[in-house]
Formats: sequence, structure tokens, C-alpha cells
Amino acid sequence: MAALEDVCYDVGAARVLDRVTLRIRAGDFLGIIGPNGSGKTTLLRILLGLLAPSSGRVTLFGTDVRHFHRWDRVGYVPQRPAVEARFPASVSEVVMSGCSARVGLGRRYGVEDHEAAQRALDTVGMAEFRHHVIGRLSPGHQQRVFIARALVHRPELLILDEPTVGVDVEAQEQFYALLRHLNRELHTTLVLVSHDISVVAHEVTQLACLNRSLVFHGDPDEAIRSGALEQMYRSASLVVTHRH
Amino acid sequence: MPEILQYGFMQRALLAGLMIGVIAPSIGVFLVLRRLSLIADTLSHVALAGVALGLLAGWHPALGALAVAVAGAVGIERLRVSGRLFGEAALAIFLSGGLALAVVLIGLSGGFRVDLFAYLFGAITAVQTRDLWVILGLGLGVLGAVAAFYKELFAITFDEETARVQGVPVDALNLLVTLLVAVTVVVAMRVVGVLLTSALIVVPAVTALRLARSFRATLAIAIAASLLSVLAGMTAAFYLNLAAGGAIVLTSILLFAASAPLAKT
Repeated sequence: MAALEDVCYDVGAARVLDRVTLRIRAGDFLGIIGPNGSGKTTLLRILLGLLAPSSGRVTLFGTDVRHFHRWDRVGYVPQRPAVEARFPASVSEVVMSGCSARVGLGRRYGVEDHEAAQRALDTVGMAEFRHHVIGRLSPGHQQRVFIARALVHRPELLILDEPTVGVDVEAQEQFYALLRHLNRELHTTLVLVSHDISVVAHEVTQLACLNRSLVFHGDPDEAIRSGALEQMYRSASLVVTHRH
Repeated sequence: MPEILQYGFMQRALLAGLMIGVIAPSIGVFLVLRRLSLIADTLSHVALAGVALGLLAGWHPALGALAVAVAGAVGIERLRVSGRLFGEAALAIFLSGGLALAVVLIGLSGGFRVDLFAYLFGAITAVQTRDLWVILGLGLGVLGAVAAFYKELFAITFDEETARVQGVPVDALNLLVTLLVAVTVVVAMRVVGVLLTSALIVVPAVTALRLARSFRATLAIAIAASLLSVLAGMTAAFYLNLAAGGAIVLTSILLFAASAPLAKT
């Protein structure tokens, strides 16, 4: 579904990513973890074609990302602070903007796009907020709206970058329940970047540990058993358990 | 028929003013929300150099303004996107450069003339039938572009990075917006003057941002506030013998001040 092959990324003389090879299969719920500055967000930006790698190859659905045009097959929830309260956009307008890729340049939204936005809001439990100003919602509710925006065109691959930053614990639990639903019931392939190792290791089916190079990629239980996490964070006190 | 509508020059000025009243805030909302308001002021100063060039070369000053403002818009956008300068430094360079070039060209053309004052501060009597057709044509072009790319412009304004991932041609549309600002400045300068056009682009948008609860409502309120400013300002200018550009912009600022108690909480 998506792959990075031998990808390097340099900023000046500094190597940010070193020969990363990672394959994402349909149906995966892949967690990418790593310490601050390990290159997690850079890797996502390269996967999405927002940054060009210094070397290596990136493909989405078998197509080189430089020539990939079917962005309606990909949903993206960026890492971002809470929206400015004064920004005059309703929840409905924000979710509708996710239809841009499907509708096409210069074309107007149709009835089916409005219905898709309504369905996406239903999926994330935010339908009753559709007329609210996005900036007035709590960070947890805003994050749900951004997921609805990413889901509105029913992507096969959903990529989320640190989506629980600023979200309270209760909202985080609801958020991960929503991701499980998307992955298990709607068969959406998920890629989740997070610094929250203990929570991510509980939730995902595949774990990638990144520290400029790929330290581990595989079953989360194996990552814990093999000591890959401990090695990456160089901390003997790290305790992580995994349950499905 | 009210006296104000009995004169051909006022009819033309009002028609031109109404077109400007619609297109200026339509672009202004996108600029203000992206913290790019200074682009309007910058391109006004760049357009002034074009007016001076037109007067010096014997072309129609609006043609000179359009050519130089469009060239300035392309230059600003290229420098801004390159990221080689901090923040709004690119705008500061073009703003002062435009004004400096205008001053030099005005000097070469023999100093300030009546024509130049009309472009600097606006003159409702200056809108000829030919000007009106140019204003209406360019204005409809700006409106058509905003309507055609409304959903992409919203996506970019709200979240540029996600818009890129959705396949929106962000760089091309950013350039388009800057070009539309250049055209709007040229369209508006005949009525409100080149130095005050940026106010008509920015102030109604800021007023609307205080009141609106959705993006569509923001555009609608900004256009309504702008049209009200144009009509009230031109009426005041006609009956009280005031400078129209100044009266329109002052009305617009009064509306902004009056909107404070109604601001959304």
C-alpha cells in the first residue's frame, strides 16, 4: 500500500533519516514511535510527498509519490495546535474541505459531498456540532473534526501525526476507540506517529521504532521482548505492556 | 430621481464603486486570515510606480499600473515562497521599492500633476465610460476566479499543509491570489485612490471577522460592510463635497468601530 525504500534525508551536513526501509500493508495499524528529533514527522512528510528525500524511493499504492495523484485514497490528520478561536469556520465547512481531492479543481461540492461530510461527522460522533465554530471546540473535539475531514472521502490509508497532543485522557480513550473502529470495522489502514509509547504499543498491530534509522519494525510484543524500545530510549526503567 | 443619480459621472462612479465594494473584501478575507494584509498595501505602492510609468511613457496610467502591479505580485510571491527572507521582509522591500520607483518616475515626468493626484487619492469625476468597462471587466474576472476556486482557497486558508496533501495546487493558487490583489488595486484606484485601496481590501474583512460564525458568513458580511461604506462614503462625498476615497475608507472604519459591541463572544 505504501513503502519507503532506503530513504535518506539530509539537512545540510546533518542526516535526519538514514536508510529507512518501511512497508505498510493494507489493514495495518502501524504506530511509529521514537524520541524527540528522531525523524518521525520528517518521515511522514516524505511519505506524503511534502518533502523530497535526499535519496531513496517512496511509493503510494504502487506509484512513485512524485507522480501520485489519487490523494482521495489518502487521509491526513496533521500535528497542530488548537485552531485559533477567532477563525470563522464552521465544523461543517472544515469537514467539507476534505472533499477537495475527490471533487477536483474548480468544481463545486455536490449533494453527495454534503452527505459524505454528514456521514464522516456521524462516524466521529460530532454531527450535533456541525454548525459550531471550529475554534470554540475543545482540543479533543477539534481533533475529531480533523479526523472527519480526513475520512470524508473514505480514504484507504489514514495518516495521523501526533493526534493526541493537547487532548485530555478521557478524550484520548475515545479517540483510540474510534481508531480501532476505523481499522477493524471499516478496514482503514492506519499510520499513527506518536511519542506516547505506552499507549501506542497497546493499540497498534505493527510498531516501527525510529531513531533517525529504523531500529525495529514488527509485532509490538516482539519490540518489548527484544529490548528494542529500551535500546532506543536508553532507559532501563521503561515498562510497556501490550494487549489486544 | 435623487440628485446624486442625475449626473452621468456619479452613475459611473457608483457602478465602479459597487464593483470595487464586492471584489475588494472578497479577496481581503483570504488575505487577512492568512496574515498577508500587507500584500494589499505593498501592491498599492507598486501600482503607483506603474501609474507614474504610464504618465511618463504616455500610456493609460491604469495599464502601466496593471503591468507593474502584476510583475510586482509575481516577484513578491516568488520571494515569499523561496523562504530566503524572514516573514514579511519581502513585502517591505517591494513596498519601499515601489514607492521609491514612483518618486523617481514622478520626478522624471515633471513632478506632481492633476492626473497623478486623481490616482493617488481617487476622483469620482475621473471615471469615464471606458474606465467603467475596464473596471467591470476586471472586477468580474476577479469575482469569477474567487467563485471558481472558493473551496480550494478556503482549504489553503484554513490549513495549507493539509490542502497540499489533498492535491490542491497551493503554490499556483497563492500566486493567483496575489495577482487578484494586484488587479483589485488597479480596479479600485480610480475611485478610492491607490493609497487607500488596501483599506477597502482589509477593513471590511476585519469587521466581518468580528461578527461571523462561518466562512461564508464572513464573506457575506465583509461584502455588505464594504458596499455600505462605498454607498455612504460616496453619498457623503457628493453632498458634502468631500474626497470620495477618504469618505469611503472613513465610513468603513466607522463600521469597524461600531461592530465592536456586536462582536461574537
